Amino acid sequence: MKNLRLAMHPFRSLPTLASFSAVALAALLPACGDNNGSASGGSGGATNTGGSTSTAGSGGMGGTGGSVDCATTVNPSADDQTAVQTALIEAKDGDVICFGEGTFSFKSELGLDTNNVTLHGAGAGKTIWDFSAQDVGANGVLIKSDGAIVEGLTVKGTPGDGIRADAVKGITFRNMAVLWDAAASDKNGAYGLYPVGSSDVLIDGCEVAGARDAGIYVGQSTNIVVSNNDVHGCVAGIEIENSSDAEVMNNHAHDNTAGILVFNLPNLPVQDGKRAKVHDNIVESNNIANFGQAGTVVSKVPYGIGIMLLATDDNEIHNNEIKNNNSSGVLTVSYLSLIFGEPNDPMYNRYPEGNFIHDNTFEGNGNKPSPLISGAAGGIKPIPDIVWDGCTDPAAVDDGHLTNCINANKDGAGDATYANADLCGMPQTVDQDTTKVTCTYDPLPPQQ
Amino acid sequence: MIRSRPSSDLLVIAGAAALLAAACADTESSSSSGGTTVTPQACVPKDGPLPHEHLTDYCFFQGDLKDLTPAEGAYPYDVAAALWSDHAAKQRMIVLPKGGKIAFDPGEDWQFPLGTILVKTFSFYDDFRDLGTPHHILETRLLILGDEGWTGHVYRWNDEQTEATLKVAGERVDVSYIDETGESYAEEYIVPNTNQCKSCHERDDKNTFLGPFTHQMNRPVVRDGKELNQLEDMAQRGMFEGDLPAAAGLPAFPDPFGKGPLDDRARAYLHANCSHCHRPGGGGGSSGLVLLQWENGTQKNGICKEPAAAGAGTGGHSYDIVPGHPEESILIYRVSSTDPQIKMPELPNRIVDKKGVALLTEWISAMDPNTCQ
Repeated sequence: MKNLRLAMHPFRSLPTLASFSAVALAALLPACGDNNGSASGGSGGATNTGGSTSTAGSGGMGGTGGSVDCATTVNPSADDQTAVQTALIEAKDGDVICFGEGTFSFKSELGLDTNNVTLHGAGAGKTIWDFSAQDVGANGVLIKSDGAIVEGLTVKGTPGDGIRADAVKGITFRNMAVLWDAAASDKNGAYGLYPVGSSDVLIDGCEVAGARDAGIYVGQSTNIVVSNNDVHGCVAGIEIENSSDAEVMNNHAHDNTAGILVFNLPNLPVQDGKRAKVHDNIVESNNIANFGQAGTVVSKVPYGIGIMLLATDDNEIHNNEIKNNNSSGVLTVSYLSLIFGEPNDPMYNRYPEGNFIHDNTFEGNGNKPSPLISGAAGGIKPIPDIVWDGCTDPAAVDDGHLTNCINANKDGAGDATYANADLCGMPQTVDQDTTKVTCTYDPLPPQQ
Repeated sequence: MIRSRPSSDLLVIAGAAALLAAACADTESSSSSGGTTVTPQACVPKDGPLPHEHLTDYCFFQGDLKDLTPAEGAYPYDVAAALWSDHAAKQRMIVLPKGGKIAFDPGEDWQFPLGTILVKTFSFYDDFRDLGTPHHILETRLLILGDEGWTGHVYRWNDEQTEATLKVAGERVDVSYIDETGESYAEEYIVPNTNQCKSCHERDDKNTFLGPFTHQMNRPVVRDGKELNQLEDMAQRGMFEGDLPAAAGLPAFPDPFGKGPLDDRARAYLHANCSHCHRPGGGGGSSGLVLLQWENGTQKNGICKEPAAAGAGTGGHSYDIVPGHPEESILIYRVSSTDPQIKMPELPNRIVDKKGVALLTEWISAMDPNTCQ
């Protein structure tokens, strides 16, 4: 027994995969160069969404200049699940996998695991990944590899989240869409574009509609750009949560429950998110009823909020156009037990500090506030453009970046209105004196 | 009888000595009990890079393939707390490279030699009350330790049960069976795609193995009709480098459905079924919920912890675990569901582990009641 002899052969190095699949794929999927652009949307790029093949050269998706060198091209077929998943598994580092025009149907989550792979569709609305029959997997697509780019396709109808990128270095979503058929339905999935625990995140030129939680949700990540997106019909349009160094710019966040959230939540492995630079966004008419799942944090967010800062520090909110949000334009709050319950996390700092809100333009906000906001504001009508709950950390030390500053915000021809709601005061004394918070901080640098 | 039955109970391998003595052989009649009159016809592992195209290329088994009789050098093992896999029976084997030994660790950090292959075969009996009924082998999964770490591969068995072929894209297979309690099931079984291996096996950006570590392996097994400790058996077979510490002094999971203390059993179950994701660096690490058996932080265990990104998975509840109130606990809601946006674990997919849910429900019920407010 001591000398157990092992009959197994010695180890040999592993190639990526067996040979059979390459043959199968060759039959299923014409090489890009043989494709004559016919199925891949290279129809001239008149709508700025074509040009997915190496032969088209028609500009369009992804800002890649139109010339894409497809390692392989997948078109809709009788078994999209097998064809697409096989292509994702067989992709090699650096490959561009192209997807033709038309609707692909999936019943299971798709997974991408190879670094630096680009999933390149013929254009949002042209290449459609339909997950409405999905019954396996928490996400439509789960990306666990670094450096992925997803562009030029529409993900629709996932029962859970749209695309999740988990713990990756480098993830880009651009010129794509995540949609659910019925806006504001409790049948919709939670998150649309969902990078978490990641770094070097770029979400650009995307549309997300109907998410039951956040349309674009960046959690526990660093070095983030969220730009030029159109996000609507979600509970939270864009949410930056427990993340640091985000730039959120040139987005259109409209007709959500709340437009843009910058949150710090307790009991998460990554704490103390800081320095979101939120600027040049149009944040309007975020007034839909909150259809979030009870028990989630966003389900506690009142409707009618333009931008909301929760227990987060050192953010810069500037040059945004914030209008017609019925509860308030910019709401800055601590993790109030009244709304959020007890954090039960001794490491957590529940107070927002050192935020700088300046040079925004406001119009028509606060006219039909939610009962929560109306009650908190102590009877002021309309609710001021900028509201702070006024709660401060008695243990805080002023390091020169403690108080929240507002400066040079406009409402029509005049100054934007402001209230310190004094929600932690006993008794509450709402204070609208702007001079107490008029101050400036150095601007945050843009992300690269 | 050299037949090893997939079973989550005590592993019974009578005639292991005969097994070890026999060359890897094509022995159609070798499963006759007692006698060891096999006519060896050496199975020669295929040359060439891994993974091979066919399961038989590896020579993991001897005799009739569907009997899953381990070949020489393939060590069958069982774990104390099994991962629920939609009711599938599982046979597990460690195949070390020739001369390779495991560097033992009292925790999870066993160091396997380059070239190790872990082999797990999934099957269903027609009737789990009678393991003599035909069983249908669906897939064999391999974890191969190569230069770039562990990689997972899936082999799909043919209907004749004579071969299994590498399959990357996954498959859905209809299965029907009667479970241990007599309940009938007709379900779709999900053979995972290759990328889904990482769903459970990846942590800190690298694949790893889940079953063979000290807490899971330090358990009694029956070999040659004798009950012995599995770790000691492995040591006796020379599978470890150096000497194994006394097994009695090493940590061990109880059988989650056995007779140990409730808290120990529940934690062993959670470790086996949840901690591959719910740990720092795991796929569910960003939730902040940590379900390692040895993690005792109340918040990290989910007690009065608000969910991070549960979406519909909250079921309207506010905390992962509300002590004394399983009916208000998100954890119970999620493990009781098969809805893809709600269910936990994310894989497998179809059948709720009723015994597991009952165990966790009992565990939460027994906690000192607390409203978490």
